[in-house]
Amino acid sequence: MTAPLARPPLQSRSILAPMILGGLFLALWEGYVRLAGLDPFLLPPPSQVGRFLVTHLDVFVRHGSFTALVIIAGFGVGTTLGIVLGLALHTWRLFREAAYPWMVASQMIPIPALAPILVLWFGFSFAPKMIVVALIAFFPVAVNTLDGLGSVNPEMVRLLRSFGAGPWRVLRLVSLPAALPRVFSGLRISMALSVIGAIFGEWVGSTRGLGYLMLQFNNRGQTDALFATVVLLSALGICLFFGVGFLERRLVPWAKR
Amino acid sequence: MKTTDRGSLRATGLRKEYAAGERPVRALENVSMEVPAGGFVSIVGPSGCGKSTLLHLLSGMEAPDAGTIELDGGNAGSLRERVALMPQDDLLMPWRSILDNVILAPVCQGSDVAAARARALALFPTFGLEGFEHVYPRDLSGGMRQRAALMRTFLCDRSIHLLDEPLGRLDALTRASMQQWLTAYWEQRRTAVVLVTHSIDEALFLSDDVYVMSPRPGRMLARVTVPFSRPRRYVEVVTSPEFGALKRQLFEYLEREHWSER
Repeated sequence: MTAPLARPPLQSRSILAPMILGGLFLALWEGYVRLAGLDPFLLPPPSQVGRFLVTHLDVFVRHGSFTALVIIAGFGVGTTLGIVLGLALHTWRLFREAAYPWMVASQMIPIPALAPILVLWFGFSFAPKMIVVALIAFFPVAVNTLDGLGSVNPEMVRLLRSFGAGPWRVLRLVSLPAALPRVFSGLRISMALSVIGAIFGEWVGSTRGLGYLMLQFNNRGQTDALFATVVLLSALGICLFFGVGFLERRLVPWAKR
Repeated sequence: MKTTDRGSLRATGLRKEYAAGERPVRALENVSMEVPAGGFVSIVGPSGCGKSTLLHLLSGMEAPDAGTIELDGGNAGSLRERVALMPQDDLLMPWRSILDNVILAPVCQGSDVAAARARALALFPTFGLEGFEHVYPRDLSGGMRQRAALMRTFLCDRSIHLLDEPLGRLDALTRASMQQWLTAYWEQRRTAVVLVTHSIDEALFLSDDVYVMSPRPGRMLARVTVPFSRPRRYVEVVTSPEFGALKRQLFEYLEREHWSER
């Protein structure tokens, strides 16, 4: 047997390797806090953070599921709009010339400035948080969809035309599948940004969610609880990010990674 | 195997110019040629002599600036519906299985997909692609990809096939075996084929007639009729003295033109 075959399969290795690195990091952290006798208020040891997380799991699940809903809804709305917008920008040249600068301009609005206005308009409800996420999530997808549709091999389009295909068939048979890998690059970036967007949205005006919890714990000086919230948020973000990757492997099976 | 209707082409006095920067470039000048029904015709010539341009005109994708193309002796009104062009690259779509790639023409024409699949499946052994129906193009070798592209062209249901350097990207051995395969396949079907190639050997082995083109602007220098009887066997044909003599003749046409350019 040759050397590459003797290695563990990629699937288990891609899980095991980051686990070991993470465990090493936690052990160093724990050891440092204990040996240096640091005040847990400044830097709580991971064991204390973990204990807090487990003992207050019901609170975290309640607020975490709200934030997850904000992220998923905002991501869904934003990326759907992004794909549609990318298609429209690709299809109508005049629209692209007119709208592209404004699309870029929309990303220059600082979210901390926008979020309070949204709260003013929509109150402490679900909507303003979702809108913040959607606004952040749509951009990378729109840009990548547009670029992906533009990167189609013109020879392939010509071939289909010679077979008698109209614009709709060309779009469905060539442009869309050719753009898919780029669309997914956009989706992955959007997913990472959506998590940050949801927290921003919850900071400004909310009575629920992990962002709200963070503010509360911060005000009360509960550093261990604050860390526990961040851990949970990261875990949520990682799950959602790899969820997009899973979807990509299902929908873009021809692209070997 | 479905017998396709037999078409013939006659091009007379074709001229084509392209706008390239300031001044127009003349790609073709007074090009005339004939593709009889059920004939295999090749065009050889140096790079950039306008061979691909000529195929684009014959396929009806572009119109000539002067000259006429007659289909079956009549007017070339329906070229696009009767002629299939296989471009230089295989252009297999990486996201479609080989089966779904070869049925692209019927799919584009809005035909019944299930029927097209069934017809294509029956052809896979003929094209040496049995067992590769459901894999993606990335899993095929260069020769197999070219055969898949050829199959896609022949599944167009057109009566004349234009092949632009279909074997150009293959290594010499694969190329020779593909030539043998293509000749056997064509000898069964006998639909009109126009093959563009750089290779004099390939043109002589496959064709009934070989046209020799000059460097730009492309003109027809000669038409050579190939006498070998069919079915043809690669080794026998390319090692025969007549083959050598014809090859020499074609080289001389090309060389004379080459030196007169200096």
